[in-house]
Amino acid sequence: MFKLTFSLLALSLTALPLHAAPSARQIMQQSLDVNDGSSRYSQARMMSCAFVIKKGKRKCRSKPRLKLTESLGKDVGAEGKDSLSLSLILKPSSEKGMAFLQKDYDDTEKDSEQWMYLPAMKKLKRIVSETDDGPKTGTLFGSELAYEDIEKHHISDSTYALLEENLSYGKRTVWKIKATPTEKFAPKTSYGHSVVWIDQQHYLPLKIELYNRQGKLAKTLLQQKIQQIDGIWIAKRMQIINHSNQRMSLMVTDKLALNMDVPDGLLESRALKDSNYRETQMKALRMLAK
Amino acid sequence: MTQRVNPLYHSVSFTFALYWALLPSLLAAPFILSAAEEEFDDFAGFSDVGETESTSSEPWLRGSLSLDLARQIGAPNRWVRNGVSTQLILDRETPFGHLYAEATGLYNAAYRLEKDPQAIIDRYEADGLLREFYWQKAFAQFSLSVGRKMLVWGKADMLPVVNMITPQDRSAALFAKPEETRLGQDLIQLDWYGNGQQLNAVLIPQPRFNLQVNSGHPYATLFSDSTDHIKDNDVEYGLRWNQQLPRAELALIAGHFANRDPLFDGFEQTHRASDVLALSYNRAADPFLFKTELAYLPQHPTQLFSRQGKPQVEEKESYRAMLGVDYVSQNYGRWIAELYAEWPSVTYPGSSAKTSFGLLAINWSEQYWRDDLLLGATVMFFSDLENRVVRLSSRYQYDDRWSLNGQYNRIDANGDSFLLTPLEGFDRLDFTLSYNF
Repeated sequence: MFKLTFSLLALSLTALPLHAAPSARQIMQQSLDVNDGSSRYSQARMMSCAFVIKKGKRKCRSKPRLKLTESLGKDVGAEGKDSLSLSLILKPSSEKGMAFLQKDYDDTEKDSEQWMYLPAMKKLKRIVSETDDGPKTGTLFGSELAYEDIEKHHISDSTYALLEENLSYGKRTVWKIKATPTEKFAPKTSYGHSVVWIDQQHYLPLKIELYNRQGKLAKTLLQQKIQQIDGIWIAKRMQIINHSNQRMSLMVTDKLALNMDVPDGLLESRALKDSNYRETQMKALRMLAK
Repeated sequence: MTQRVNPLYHSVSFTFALYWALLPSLLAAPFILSAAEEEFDDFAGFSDVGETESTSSEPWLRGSLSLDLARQIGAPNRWVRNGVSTQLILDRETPFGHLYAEATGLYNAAYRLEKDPQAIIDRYEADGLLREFYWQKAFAQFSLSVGRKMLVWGKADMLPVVNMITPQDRSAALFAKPEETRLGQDLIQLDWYGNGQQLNAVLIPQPRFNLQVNSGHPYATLFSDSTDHIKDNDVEYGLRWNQQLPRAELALIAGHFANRDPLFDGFEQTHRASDVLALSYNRAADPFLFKTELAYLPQHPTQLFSRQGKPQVEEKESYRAMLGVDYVSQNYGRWIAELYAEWPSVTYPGSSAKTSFGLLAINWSEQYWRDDLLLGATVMFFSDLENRVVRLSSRYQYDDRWSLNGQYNRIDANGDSFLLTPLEGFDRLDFTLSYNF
């Protein structure tokens, strides 16, 4: 079974040759080579709420929960395939100052390394993850994005079928592709299959439907507010609608900078607990963000 | 008293761990036309989403207001907290460095309700504490801190061996808020950062010791009023070297630190400082994190009693060790187990002299309802299975500002635990309603 991740949906700027109709697998392969810059800074909000449907539209039933975060990352290693990232919580106030550092390796044999700074305890702590025996439990920031939704995946995790070749989606023409996890990958995901709407001109994923193992629609993901930042086109809003529990989340990127110089020290453990060092170094990056 | 890490943070850590992985998806949309933006530019229900929220508007001051209720439900059965408390944090970057202050204050009507001695009411009914107040300035590879600051050097979460620098607040015996269990130390700290390495130096001209309540207070201990009789006040200093290794960390510590609790030397009490050599190491092997701390104190002041029962302090070669493991389960939450041992052990008046002392602590925590509900349980054994503390805790986050904490502590002591016997009958139920701003 395939759990279609966001990272998998990332499509390359390099379009496929127009004279040859690409296969479903070729289209999905492009997503693995996304050009997201060699370094990146962002401020983002994640809002989540339970919803009701009124006059055909979803509305939050109460005031959405909000997480305001600041993140920084860059590609490292011989071919730039490893990555370092720093994330800080700015809001809510009860969590302000929590900071997280992660090292990810392209080598599948090497596990990620993670540290967390706990401001209430004044403690920098190394943390560990669950094993890969099954789908990751829990959700991101208490949102409707499950951890398994945002895991890295390989093209070989699923098989792909082109459901419709010239489908109209709004004013766009899209491919509609069904992805089904392989027998080997199926135990690691809670989804039975997924369906993706991909823009034919630019190979953009515009909509994703995730179905559970019983074939019932579990979630719908939408990418919105497309803008060009530092030469790269990005979606600044992402909406996740969970049909099984009537909840939804919206992730908004308020500020973003790409391909800037990031001091190495900002992606080391010092940046987690040395507030003055971190803030001094990040001041310049914040000014670059749009 | 040992300190317990709020399991909430372990859960939040996963949030961060995977947060960055999401960003490629936001960068994944090349060349969409503006027409498409209009088509999908729909908040679909998030009607109050503003355009941006900038960090520049972050307030300098934050904190919480809480309503605290705590009742001792063993013997005696009585109120121990009944009032309000506040935590204020000043967190400000200035052109001259980082300024940080953290203070707590409370009004507790429990002493008045229970008709405690007037001296206790006068002293503890309204109380305030400046936990931290320091200035910090970072340079290229150095960082300097001056002021009152908490300093945590160890790897342990519940049973620290090498966290000998920061004193503990023992005014409440059992805390509903783990972050209130520690106090800042007045210090000068210099940190050096290299490639995967850190060197930390600390100087404490006038050490602060564990905070005890006065005699007559429900949580008075045999150390109460000890500050009236301190006969020494050594300068403390220490050096730590920390090396990051692939999926592991190693730290070596050398220093000269005092006993945070007093020892009895005849009619006087002492915190006499002694040399410490320590090592801490952890290694990650998902889903496990293995931790260890070892300390060697060549001439550690140790409590002894003469045949006449007269207390005296003798310098002895001493050892302390902690072995621990964190475990993250896909279906059964997060677990921490730590085993602590010291020998020879410090003994106190009224306790049987033992040559060693051990502690075993096991903690479980898990989050539910989209992280709104946190449940936790801890059991801590003191030397044997009959002396134990069991703690059940919960936290419900109503929204981004309001939360409700509940905690139940049960203490079982068979009479020969010098740490636990004084707390026998102190079973306690806590509720805290907090508003964060």
